[in-house]
Amino acid sequence: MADFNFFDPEFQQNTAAHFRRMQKECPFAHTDNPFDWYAVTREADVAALLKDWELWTSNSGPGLAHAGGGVLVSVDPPEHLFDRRLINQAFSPAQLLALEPAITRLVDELLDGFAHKGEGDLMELFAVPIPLIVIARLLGLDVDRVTHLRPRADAVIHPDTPPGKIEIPREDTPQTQYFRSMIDDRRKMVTAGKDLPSDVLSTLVTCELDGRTLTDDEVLGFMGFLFIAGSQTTTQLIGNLIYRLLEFPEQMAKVRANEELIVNAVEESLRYDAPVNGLFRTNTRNVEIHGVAVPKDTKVICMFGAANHDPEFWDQPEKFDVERPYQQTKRHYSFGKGIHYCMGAPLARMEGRVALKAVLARLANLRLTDQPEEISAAVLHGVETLRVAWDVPQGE
Amino acid sequence: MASLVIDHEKCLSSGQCAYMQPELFESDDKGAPVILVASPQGELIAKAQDAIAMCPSQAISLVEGS
Repeated sequence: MADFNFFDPEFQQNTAAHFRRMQKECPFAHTDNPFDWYAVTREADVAALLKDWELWTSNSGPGLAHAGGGVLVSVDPPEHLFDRRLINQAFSPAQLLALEPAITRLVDELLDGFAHKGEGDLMELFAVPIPLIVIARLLGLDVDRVTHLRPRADAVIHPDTPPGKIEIPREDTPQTQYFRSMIDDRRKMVTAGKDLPSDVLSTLVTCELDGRTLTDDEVLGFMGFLFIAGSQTTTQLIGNLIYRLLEFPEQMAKVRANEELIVNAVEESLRYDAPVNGLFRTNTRNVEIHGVAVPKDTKVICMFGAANHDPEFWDQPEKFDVERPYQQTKRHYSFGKGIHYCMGAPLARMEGRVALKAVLARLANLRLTDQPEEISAAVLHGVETLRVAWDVPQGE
Repeated sequence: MASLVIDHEKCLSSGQCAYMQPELFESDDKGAPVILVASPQGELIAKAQDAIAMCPSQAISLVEGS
């Protein structure tokens, strides 16, 4: 008998209650869908697994499929050190934070396009396009083209994902074909001695680290991964953040009264609604956890969303509180912890801040017109739709 | 001579400094960073600059004159 069924819509719609039950009753929870795997939900266990990357490897991929051959989230040191240094050349925290004025302009332009309508789905109008356009520009992709290529974060975790190549998308997809043509173009520009645009793709195509350059497949792997990791997760952050502030109007009122609370609100949203429920590790030797003998090569998910609500770790974890001290809130697990800590965290936090600030400034009397739907992608958590209305000033 | 300084208000305990530059930093049992070499010199200066560049919370700096 399984302790939980992660892919059951009922589980997905009630993760908070299930996580609490699992923490109490089965801290090392078993499921058999579609084969035997486990979940840790207590903060102490999630912390311990993430810290011990030699025992709990990422070399078999962050998803349920046993999949090697990826980048960043799918490798441990020494390859992982190489990958992080490489990406940091184009994606350093300082470079990401310098994008704030440009992202603020982008968000304002998006609002210019729909603020006069007075109602709509803020996911489709706002939370989806912001991260997608930002990551497209960063990577050097054509914004109009990628808006048709909605990346699917669920591919990272889904058991049907083709083994071995989760970070390198299938060859026959429009996304892969497009990325390959972009890589070809850049290589030709290098050969012709032309100046390259300043973006991640140029860095990947030209970089040299430890005396070697990247192959096309490696460039494709990084591009595919960054495109997924940089878009849908931040979409969930923006949507979940606005939703909770609408669900708890007294919290919205506090943020409206004091803009300094925007930073706290973003962090509390990350804690309260982890955009990624959790990611997998795989043990490199036999171990025992909470009395269960765990054979080598077992997939175990570290439930970030559960650790973020563990009453052993948090004071009143079920309360969404924008005044929770930042020094406590920042200890959430939504970006992971340890060597695989999310490289896009500074960008995600900033996009969340900029988006909320713009919503507060431009959408007066914002209110829900419908209960949102939970996102269908199992690895993700939060709202799929956010239908709202707001007051449009006279004369617009 | 420059000294390593960590702004613990900004620090997010991601563990990146101890991971990237274990000669200069380690993580305590709560994951918070501990400076091992107060004033890096020679080749350790470049390593300190690497840790500064990689820190996701921009919480590390080298401060002159201490």
